[in-house]
Amino acid sequence: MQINKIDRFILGTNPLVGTDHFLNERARERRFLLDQARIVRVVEAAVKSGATGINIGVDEAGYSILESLGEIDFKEEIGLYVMVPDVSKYVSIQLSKGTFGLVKEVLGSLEPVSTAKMLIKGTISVLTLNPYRALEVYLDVELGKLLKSKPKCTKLRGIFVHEAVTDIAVALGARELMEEYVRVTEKKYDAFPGFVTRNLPKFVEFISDTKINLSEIIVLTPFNAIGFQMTPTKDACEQVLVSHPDANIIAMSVLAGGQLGLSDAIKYLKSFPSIRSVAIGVSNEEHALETFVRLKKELF
Amino acid sequence: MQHRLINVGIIGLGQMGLLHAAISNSLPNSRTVAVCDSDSRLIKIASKITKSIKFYDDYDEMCDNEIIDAVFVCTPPHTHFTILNDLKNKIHKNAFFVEKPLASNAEVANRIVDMFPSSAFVTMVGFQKRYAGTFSRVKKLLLDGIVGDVFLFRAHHFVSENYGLYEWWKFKKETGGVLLEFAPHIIDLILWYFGEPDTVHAQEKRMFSAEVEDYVHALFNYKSNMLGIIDVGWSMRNYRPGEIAIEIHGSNGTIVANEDKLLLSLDEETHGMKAGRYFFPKSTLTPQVPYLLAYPENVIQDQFFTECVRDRTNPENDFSSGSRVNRVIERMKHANQ
Repeated sequence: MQINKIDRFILGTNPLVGTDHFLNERARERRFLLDQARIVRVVEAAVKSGATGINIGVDEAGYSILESLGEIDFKEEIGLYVMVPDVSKYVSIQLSKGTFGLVKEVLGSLEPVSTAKMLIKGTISVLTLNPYRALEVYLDVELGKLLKSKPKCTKLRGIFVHEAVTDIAVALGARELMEEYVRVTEKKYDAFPGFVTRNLPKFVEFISDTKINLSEIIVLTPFNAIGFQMTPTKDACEQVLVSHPDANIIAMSVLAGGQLGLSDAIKYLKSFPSIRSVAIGVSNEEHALETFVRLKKELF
Repeated sequence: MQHRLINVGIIGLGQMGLLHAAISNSLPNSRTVAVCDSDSRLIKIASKITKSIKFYDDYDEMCDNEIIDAVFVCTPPHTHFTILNDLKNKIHKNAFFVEKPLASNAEVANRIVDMFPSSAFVTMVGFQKRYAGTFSRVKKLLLDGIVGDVFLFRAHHFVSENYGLYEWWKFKKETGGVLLEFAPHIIDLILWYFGEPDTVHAQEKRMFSAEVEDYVHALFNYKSNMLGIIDVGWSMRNYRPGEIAIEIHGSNGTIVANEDKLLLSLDEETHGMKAGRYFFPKSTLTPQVPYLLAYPENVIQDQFFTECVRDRTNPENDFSSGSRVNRVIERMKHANQ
């Protein structure tokens, strides 16, 4: 893996699309005030100030951001990092139709947009109840749709598995599923296989017991001065940086959901040179400008 | 003294069953040994994904073949009684966790309580909101009488979930509705904080469902002159994730809490706290957990359950407290009729 291909400064889009890990109340307000024109302005300001990558979900909001990227005339290529699956959508389906109802719905939803080849594979998956085939078809369809929609100025650089899936897979010891995901991603997409986790020490321990090479994946995980969402402890997460300097860590939640200022975040990140990349969300143009200009100037 | 790990069995591989299986398998004092679901197709898929856990489509067979110390029943409420009755003598440490609500009606809930005396069984109902940092602090503030005599509380549980005529059990008259599916959490918190109301008034509203209520508005009156106003809805826009919130007004101040934060306002100094306003974010009230899945309270609750199993003690949110929630739900239904 060429570590220098991972963008150092990645725009996290949670605040733009109304997701907030600190206060749901704030998220509800933001979702209510979603405005495509504002998204375009914020993304443009972030990229012009130093963000070279952008992290989106494969949900409606993610596609809305992709659309906004197409409206901006960027001179340089933007690294695209996507998070799969759209957990919120699937939780809703599960709650209303049950778990097997969800499985049927997901596989069924793949059909209308899939190619004949995918359709055959999908049919085999349903017939043989093969989760590994289903995973491959899911990625084919989800990423195929995204690659068709993404503007030319972007390059798919990383594909993250959502933390809700990563952390459950680790807890249940789903080794082959994780290995298969990495295998498919590496084979089919010119992008880094990635995982989001809120349990870094356990995740790293788990990965070391699989065929996955830690240095060949990217890991998006919380790192901040107050230990917000760093499980089991801040110290244990920091210890991973020391014991696994080959891990490609992308720090998230560096502002601890707004509990910390940018200066605190920069000071903290500077004390861990093995963190080479940071994903950070901004909610307005001024915030974008200040954040990425300062990160570029003071970090890494 | 070194204790061996608590062997956990899970019945029902829905969202909560999957979560409990993952949490139990990640806690330091327990492991998930087996999972059962009546849908054999689901079991076939799951058994291919994880090899360290055994999967069954029959819970009797699971409990016959495996040494299960504690079982988590995560099936629809109307199935709880039969499962509990069938497994009463098959769980090694006599430990039963049931996802809320305990039963689909108060009469069945009472029968379950009679079947599982606390002297012989460790029981728990999944009221994890008690273990959320903010809501557990509210309990402590109320026990300390920080805001004085409470005369009014307003509480709600809103979520964006139901906008169509679904065919599943949650939307059937005998087994579903927002009262059974969502109200238990907020009602449990209210009963934990204030006890059972003396009179109940309620009004239901159908908006999207053909057979069940989508919204409930209720008034709880207490002899102490305290009034409670409760609203529960599962068809509320822009509530994903959902929100459980409570506002408590007393003679010396106000408490406002949801899953994320607790606001306290005091008129006069008390218990070493000066008059004024206090803001406690969840992160300052929540203990670290060994492995974070979903919300910390889910993990804290399951960890506490396994500790109760180990120590042979009963938690506060046992079957008996679960039956009280069923009783109040029933009163709300009758009040509406």
